[in-house]
Amino acid sequence: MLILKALGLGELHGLGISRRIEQITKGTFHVKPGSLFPALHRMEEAGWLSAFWGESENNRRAKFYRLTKMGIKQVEAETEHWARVALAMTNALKAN
Amino acid sequence: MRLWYRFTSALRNIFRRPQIESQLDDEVRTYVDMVTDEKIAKGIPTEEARRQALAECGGVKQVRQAVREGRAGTSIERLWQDVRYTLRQLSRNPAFTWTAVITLGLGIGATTSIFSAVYALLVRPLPYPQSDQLAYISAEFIPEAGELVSPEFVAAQQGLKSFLQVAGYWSTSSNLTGAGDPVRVDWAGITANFLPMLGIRPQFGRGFLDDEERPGGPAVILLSDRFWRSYFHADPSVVGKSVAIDGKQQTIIGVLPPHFSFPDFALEPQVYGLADLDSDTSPAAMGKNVFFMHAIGRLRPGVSMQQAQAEVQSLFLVRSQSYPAFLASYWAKRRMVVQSLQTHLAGDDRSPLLILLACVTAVLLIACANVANLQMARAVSRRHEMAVRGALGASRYRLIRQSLVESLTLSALNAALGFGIAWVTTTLIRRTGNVADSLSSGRETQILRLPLGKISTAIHVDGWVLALTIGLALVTALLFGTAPALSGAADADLRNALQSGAQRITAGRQQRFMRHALLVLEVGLAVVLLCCAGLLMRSFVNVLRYENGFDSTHTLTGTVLLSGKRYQSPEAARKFAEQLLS
Repeated sequence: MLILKALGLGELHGLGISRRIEQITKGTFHVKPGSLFPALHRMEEAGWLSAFWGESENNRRAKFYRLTKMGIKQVEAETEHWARVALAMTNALKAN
Repeated sequence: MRLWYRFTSALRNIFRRPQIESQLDDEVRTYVDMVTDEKIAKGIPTEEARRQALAECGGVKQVRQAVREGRAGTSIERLWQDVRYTLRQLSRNPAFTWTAVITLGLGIGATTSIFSAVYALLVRPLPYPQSDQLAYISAEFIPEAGELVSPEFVAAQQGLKSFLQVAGYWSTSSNLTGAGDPVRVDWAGITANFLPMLGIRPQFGRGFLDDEERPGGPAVILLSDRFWRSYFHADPSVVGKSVAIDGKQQTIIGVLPPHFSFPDFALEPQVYGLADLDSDTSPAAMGKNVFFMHAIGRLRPGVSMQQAQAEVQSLFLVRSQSYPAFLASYWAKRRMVVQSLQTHLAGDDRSPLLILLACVTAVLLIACANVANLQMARAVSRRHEMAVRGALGASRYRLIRQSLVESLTLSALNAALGFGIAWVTTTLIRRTGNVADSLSSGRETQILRLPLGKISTAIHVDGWVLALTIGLALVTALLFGTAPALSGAADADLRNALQSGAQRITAGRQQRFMRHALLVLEVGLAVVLLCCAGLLMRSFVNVLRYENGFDSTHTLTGTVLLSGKRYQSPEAARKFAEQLLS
């Protein structure tokens, strides 16, 4: 979900996604390639992401990912779901 | 939508594997390169930067493996791996493979071919619309069943309420002349409603009309599709031509469709004429020129066979009271029988077929037991291998799946062989059973025909039979595959297996029990098989022992049919014979 969110602002390559996640979570999450790439490929296969090869900022050929329509819908659905779970969790923890 | 994506990507992963792999390679390498670049920019030396970047990523190979694991279609790929491994194993162990494949292939083949006979005979509906309503009506004089005498048949046609209609036929051999070489044909005289009742319409030309059916009516005939093709070379202009049947000119009015099979599989009439029944049903007609009619009726919806039988019985009882005394006393004993057409056609072939089916099933089970035994022996010798694989990290699930895949691959081979055998035997049976060829049949073909009789022409391999073969293969795979899988799964203790597996030759208690169980099963089946085979052998031996009482070598027999006006007088027939022999 974080990956989808990170891609919400535009297309990025693997390292870019990893750095963006660190940035938007203020360094809380650090995604290692061992989990990043399998997730990316799975989401591509599910049709949430589309990929293309492009040039990175320092002229390296890199695979870029961007959200598809289905991916955008998925972000919305998951955000809503997460909000509900988070609210429930917060309430549950507050109540003694 | 999601499923579709997964499906297409699974296909892509399987079929464009090299491309996908190299892309993945590039992608991960770029990642590492970029991390290295960042580190160099921070002032770390190149070598050190690269090492740190790799360490951070956790290894390029590991990442790639992780991606591969999660990819769509991985399980299919694994399955394929298992199948290939099995094939390699089997080809390295040809003695085992051939024994197993031939044993089970023969078993499956035999079962399938007998099943196709049973299916054709007892299960498959007859090739007529609403065939379950069709009934065969016969008069049973103890001890044999017989056809109806023609005036009685006409009375049945007129008087029976349980049937929508009653149709009938009688058949004989005739000489056909006037269109090339003279030829002897099987001729069937049918009632005008016979074909419509069976839902058959000529492929071209027309059928018989109701008002053509009377003594002295128009001389018109229909041809069977096969005869039309073989004798008239499928010439469509044959309709309207006239040929002579037993010296009497007849006009061809149509050709029957190729899919039509006559409701007596032993008979395949080539020419159909009208039965031309006299409508006189009075007792006096019984003394006139009568012939025997096979009667088939279509039941009214909602009427059972028993009800119809009761009605037929009472109708004929009333009729026979008015017959001349000698007929009445003789026929008082007879019993009218109404049975479904299917049962009638299956007739006496029923019980030998079921015995045969039991036999081949027993053979198949014995084959299964044998192969299971072989598999177990193999499993013992492969315990070490399995244990090593387990120690190297293969999961229990993976190991059991492997052995299941092995069984299934083996049984796929069996099924292929079995299906081939079934196809060959059914073709043989059909060919020998074919009436057209049986004129030239020798004793062997008669023996082959024996257990299947008149149904044999209707036997062939079709979708249902194929389904059965596949089903059998699966069941046998379960039967011979579970025993070793279970005994293999029983020793989960890897250490023990690793230590003892290499040296131990005699089987453990577990296997011993399994083997004894198999042995008991096998002996039991063998006894059953022996009983069945004994029953069948007796009738076979009777046939083989049957001697003609004369030396039949170098003799030839032939029949000449002298029908029609020209040979009415005995002198003419004698003269013909003299000419022929001299």
